[in-house]
This record gives sequence, structure tokens and C-alpha cells, in this order.
Amino acid sequence: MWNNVQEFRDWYMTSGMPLRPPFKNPVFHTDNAMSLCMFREGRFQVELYLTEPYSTSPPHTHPGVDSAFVYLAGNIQFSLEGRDNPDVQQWQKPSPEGYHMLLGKTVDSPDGIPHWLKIGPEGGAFLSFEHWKDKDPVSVTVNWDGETVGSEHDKTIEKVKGE
Amino acid sequence: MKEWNEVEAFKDWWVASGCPIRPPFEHPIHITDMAYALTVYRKGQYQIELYICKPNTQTQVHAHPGIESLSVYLSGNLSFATDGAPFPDLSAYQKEGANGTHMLLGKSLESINGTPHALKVNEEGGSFLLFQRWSHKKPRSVAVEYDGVTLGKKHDKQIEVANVE
Repeated sequence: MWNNVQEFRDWYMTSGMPLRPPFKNPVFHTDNAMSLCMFREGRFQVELYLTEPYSTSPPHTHPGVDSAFVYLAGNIQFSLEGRDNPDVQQWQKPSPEGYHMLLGKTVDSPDGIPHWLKIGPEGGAFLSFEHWKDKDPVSVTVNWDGETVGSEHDKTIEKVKGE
Repeated sequence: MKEWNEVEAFKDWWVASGCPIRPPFEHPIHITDMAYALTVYRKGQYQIELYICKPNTQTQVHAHPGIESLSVYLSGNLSFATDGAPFPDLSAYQKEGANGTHMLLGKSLESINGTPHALKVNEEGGSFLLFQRWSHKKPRSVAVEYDGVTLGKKHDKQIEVANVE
């Protein structure tokens, strides 16, 4: 097992990124994003997020969850309160291998620090590595403190509360 | 460059290679009213898209001309119907398998060679991998190489964007 989300992320990324979605609660959606839990073990999980072009999420936190994000594809401006948030447009280029030049780059998102997303015309794809410190993992989509993305997001949160 | 002579061989290679996730820079993400897709790997005429599908959704019968494909189950509750047949009843398989995964994880669902088919997703939502070989053009997404009634405004927009580029 891992001691923190960074250890979990590093293990996952160097272990062939095992694709092992759980039977329980693998898929979630909001008004502008969908997620698939790719791997879950104990209090750790990694979710794949796909986001619509030109979408945003307001500042929010995921209480009790330490996260680390890993860039996969598209055009994602990920911002953390109180941090330097460089403009990612300067890196909207392919690598020599034909991938996004930010593929595999990571940003830590500690519990309690608000973050927000702004997606460009290409849409976005990233991995969310999560350590749920005080409860079993579900999805950070429904463990959400802050203004929601919209009515679909509200419904998804309500559905999980009712289970 | 590694080449394959059929989509099944491509799938076997990808699995044996540890399922590398290397989205291309060009056109990696496609969105419809029913599902979101990420191309997780693309090489030559071959690619793999990972589809995440919304709960309680269904396509009408449609085809992807010039594309040979093979779907592999990941999670949730979904089924494919081909050639006008009814959707298969997979309710007996909606159970937890090894390591807390879905018991159908990794199972091949349908092998489709441009033939008409439909997809139904139940209340859990669902996800699958779609291994593809494009015979006549550069791969992009089966969501935009779509012969049939589309899934709504987002789908129409996605097809329109692809046709303009």
C-alpha cells in the first residue's frame, strides 16, 4: 500500500497504468465532464476525466481528499488558489512522438486548497489520483465543496446521497 | 514501425504491451450527447478509443463505414446489438468479479466490420474500449464516421467540426 497520493501516482504510472475499473460506482457525469474510475484499491483510486470543449468548473475543493493530476490530452488550464498558475497555452504543441507535450506532467492538489479548471476548444483529458483519507472512495465529482457545474452535476450528487 | 494485419492482432499486441495510454495530440477527444471518448492510443490506421457512456442512453442502429472494430468491456452495464438482432440480455453477468472489478472486464463484446449495430447503456452507465482499423482514411473517431441517426446537437456539432477540418 501507499503512504500518500504521490506514492500511489508514481506506482501507477510506473506499473503500466493498470486498467481495472471497479464494479461499484465506476462512472459519473456532470454537465460538462464524465469520469471513469480506472483503478481503486483501499483508500486510493485514479479517475480518468474527459471534459467538454470551452467548459469551466468554478473554484471548489474535495474535502478529505489529497489529489494529484496528470495531464493526458487536450487543452486544460488547471489552477490552484495561492499558487503560480502558468498559462498552458504556451505548451499546446505536439511532442516529437506526436503526443501532447504536457503528457504525463503532474500537479499536486492538496486537501483544502481550492482549484478550478478552464478547458480550451480541444476538450481535455486528465487523470485524477486520489487519497481518500477518512472514507471509502466514490468520485471527487460527488465529494464536492463549492458551486457545482450545473443541474446535471446537482442530480449526480443527489443520487449518490440517496444511495 | 509495428504493424498489424487485423484488429484482433492489434488488440492482442496492445494488451501484451501493458495497455499503453498515449493519447495523440491531434483529435484525442470526442463528445456526443451520449458518451465521451478519448483516443488512448493511435498508430497508422489503428487506434483505440475509450468510451464513457451516460446512464439510460441508447443509439439507434448505425454503422461506421470502412472501419473494422472490436469492443472490449470495461465497466458498468451496456450491450451491443448487431445486424438487427435484439440487445443480448447480460443481466446474469452484472456481478462483481476478481479484484472488485466487473465480471465482464476484458471480455470482447462485438467484432464489427462496418456493419449496422446499436448500443444500449443501462442505469449504471458504462465504459468500453473500441479497437479500430480504418481502411480508407486517417483515424479520428467512430463518433464522427457515423452513418445513421445522430445522438443530438452535441453529436451533430462534433461531426460538423470534423467535416470542416
